[in-house]
Amino acid sequence: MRPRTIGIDLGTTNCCVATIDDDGAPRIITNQQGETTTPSMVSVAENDAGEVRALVGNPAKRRAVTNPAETVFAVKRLMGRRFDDPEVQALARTLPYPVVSAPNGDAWISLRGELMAPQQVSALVLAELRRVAEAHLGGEVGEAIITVPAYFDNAQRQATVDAARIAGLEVRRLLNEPTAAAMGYGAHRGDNRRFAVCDLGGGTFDVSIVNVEDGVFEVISTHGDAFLGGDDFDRAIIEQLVGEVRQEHGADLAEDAQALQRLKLEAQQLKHALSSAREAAIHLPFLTQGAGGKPVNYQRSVTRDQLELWTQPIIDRLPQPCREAVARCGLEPSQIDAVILVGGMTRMPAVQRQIAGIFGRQPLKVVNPDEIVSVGAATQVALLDGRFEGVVLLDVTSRALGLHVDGGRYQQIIPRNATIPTREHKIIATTKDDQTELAFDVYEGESPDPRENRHLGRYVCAGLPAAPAGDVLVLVDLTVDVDGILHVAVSELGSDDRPELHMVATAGLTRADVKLLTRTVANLS
Amino acid sequence: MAPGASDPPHRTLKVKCATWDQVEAFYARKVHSDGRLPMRVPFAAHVGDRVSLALQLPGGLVVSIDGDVIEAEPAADGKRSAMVLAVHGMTAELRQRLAALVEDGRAGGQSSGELVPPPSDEPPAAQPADVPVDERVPPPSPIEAEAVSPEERGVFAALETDLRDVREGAAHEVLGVAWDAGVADVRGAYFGLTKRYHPDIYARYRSRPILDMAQEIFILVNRAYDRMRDAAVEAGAGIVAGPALLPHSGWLVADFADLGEQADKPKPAPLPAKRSRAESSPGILTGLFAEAAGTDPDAAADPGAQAIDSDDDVLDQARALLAAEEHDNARSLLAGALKRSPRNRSLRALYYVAFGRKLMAEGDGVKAIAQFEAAIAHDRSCAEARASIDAARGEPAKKTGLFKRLFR
Repeated sequence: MRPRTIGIDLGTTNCCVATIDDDGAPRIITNQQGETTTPSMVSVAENDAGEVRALVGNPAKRRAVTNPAETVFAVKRLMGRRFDDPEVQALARTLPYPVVSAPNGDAWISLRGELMAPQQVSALVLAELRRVAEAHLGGEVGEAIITVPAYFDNAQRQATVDAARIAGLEVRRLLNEPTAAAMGYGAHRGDNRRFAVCDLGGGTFDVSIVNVEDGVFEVISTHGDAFLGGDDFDRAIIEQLVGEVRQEHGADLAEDAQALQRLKLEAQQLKHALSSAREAAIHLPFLTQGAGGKPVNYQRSVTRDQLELWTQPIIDRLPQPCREAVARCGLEPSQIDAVILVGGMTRMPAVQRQIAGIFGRQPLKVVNPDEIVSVGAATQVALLDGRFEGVVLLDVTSRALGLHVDGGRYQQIIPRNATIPTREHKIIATTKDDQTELAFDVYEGESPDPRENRHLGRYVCAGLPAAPAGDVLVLVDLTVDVDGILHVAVSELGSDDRPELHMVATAGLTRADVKLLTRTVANLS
Repeated sequence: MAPGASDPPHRTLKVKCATWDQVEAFYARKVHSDGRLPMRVPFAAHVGDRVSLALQLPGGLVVSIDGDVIEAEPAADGKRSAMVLAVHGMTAELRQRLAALVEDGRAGGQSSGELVPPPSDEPPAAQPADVPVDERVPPPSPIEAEAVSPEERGVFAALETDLRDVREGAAHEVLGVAWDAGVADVRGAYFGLTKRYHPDIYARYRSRPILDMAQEIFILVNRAYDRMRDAAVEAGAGIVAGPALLPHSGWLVADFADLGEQADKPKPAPLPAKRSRAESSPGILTGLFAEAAGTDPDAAADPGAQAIDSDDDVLDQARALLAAEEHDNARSLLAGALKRSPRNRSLRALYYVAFGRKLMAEGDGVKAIAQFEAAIAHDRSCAEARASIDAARGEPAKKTGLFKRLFR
């Protein structure tokens, strides 16, 4: 029997795996603890035999309290990011584990004195999910459909594919999370509607406008904020509590990693409790040492109104991406037929109120916003296997792609919100006599100034024939495939052979890196 | 032409640092502050050689640093030499990064347990491909029928035929709608083709060539839909809810100022609009050619002025050959003439036309159009190129649309 394919929602804080039963019904696969979601956490520890092993999921979450510096969480926010990115710098200051710069400038993690790529950490999580699925299905799992935020750029998508490869999973498709949610919600409902999917997860906020017409799921616009999510809510609560402890007991928790970790768990519980209750209590005995060495027992109760007051600045960031996504496809918020809320953070009443206010209607009640994305991924598995007739998914590019040639001006080649797969080309010419190499840079972003856009890579086209300036024309093809990943190809006009194309590796993992990291991950699990 | 025939050799030299102290010594002392690194190497070095150092750190990471040989003293046996390398890859930024890595490595170095085991020492300099200096981007592999399993050959063959039709068709022919169809018709046809050609539909076959073929077709279907939809919006159909209502600056047309009216539009083209667009974004080529014209006033004043009589004869002969559809002969004739007078733009333009006609004859209209556009870039008055573009874009419609064939 062929290895099975599973759908994975690889979230910032929690992951979820789903599959499609033989009768076509999606099923969430529960882990060993019987839970539908697995925390995206990895902790590295020595086992009884003294070997270094990785703990994944709930064991890692438990260990986070005692060994915060050896436990990695929210690694999705570092995937495919540069170390000197200001957002990464801001994030690194708040993380208990050290974020360092890899030799090529990517953000990596230092764990027990060794460097680890975010891809490696993600791979450990994926390998665990694969084991969970294999235990449930009783067979080998070789492929997966993995969901990524719609706002993920090319480097982040490539990093996700690399992570899966390191974990021994072939990625059959990268699916945008809001799109997956729309699929999970409505694949079997036949009506024509226009949805807005708002996905507020652990680390990202995504909005997609999805048009469903005659079985065609057409994503017509997507927008988001890559650094807005549940983590930010947690941090706002922690900051508030740290400030209060400092005032009351004169103890500074900001330097106490263990106390911060306990506060983080407490903040999450508080958030969950206040989604249904109006008031909840915090009780943290022996949180830290106060002035004079006395232990601090911290205890107080928090009301929902107080929580909303603390997190108001974050909630205020929700409307802008929503309005932008709607405006991008030439619509008014009132022209949206239904709103779907996805992601655990949308359980918070204040978030629901805010989004209802933007679109002027109550969001649809989704039974379990944590699981709907993985259900959509599993549905897509069935669709790819040809088990759903007459349903197709049309997704779009979330960023514009452009080209910059040395000495020239930056030009946008593929616009944002273009239906994928898509290909556009540009012809560039040599500028010097007998020039045999042509270099160009590919950027992602809409600004006319390339420096404000994200640099995806520098390409060098070599082996051109010697000729007067301007006589050698090179056609550069940019193709975005169904996974949203960019491929670059060059050909020389007026000639049958293709020039050589080199990518000067400035970011991400090379194929050799992936091979190397696969070995280390296999050793750890 | 073969790359590297006359280039200086490019070598990769692995430098293994067993401890973090060695790493620090490397960047702090071995490399002089002016970026010079004297060293002995196990090969005959020459001034001008390019050498990349692959600095292997204790954690197993490899940092590559580029340099040029500026002084070389080969040993008597010719297998070793002493040289001085100018390591221009050793930037201040890299120094800082290395310093940070050393600090990190030392801080955690005492702890037991090696997380990232050093890679096996087996392949040292013998495998420079392992060094992330740069990565060769493989050209897109041709879609080959051989890779398809026998039971899926039929699907592949059907897609291959459809791809040829889609490549040849104008936008409205691809969609199978009237030239001035309304938005509803265009969308309906597009959805029909989507359900037939989206790569997802073919995912079940699991052979790469079938998926690639479906992707190729669907890219063209998407492009046709974008064009028709944008044209409808321009004609006043109101905003169509759908992605990418932005001008496609990636279309070649935007690069060549006087080419826009050749697109699928009726003849009285909106000239002022075109002008302003050209002025606002002169493509790199436009700029280049203006510059080239400036440096070569004779050629700019009259493309044919420099050409001696034989070039004009060649042009006439080539036109005759093209009319007789002997594309390859025309191409080699023009190539020969271009060797004599490489700056004759008329010759060069016709050369591209010949190549494009050949591609057209092989059924690859998309690539052919690129060739014709290149021809116009070289010589704006090239009538053959303009006529060929019109023919390639299929205006007026002659062929049976794909949609009609599928849904008749």
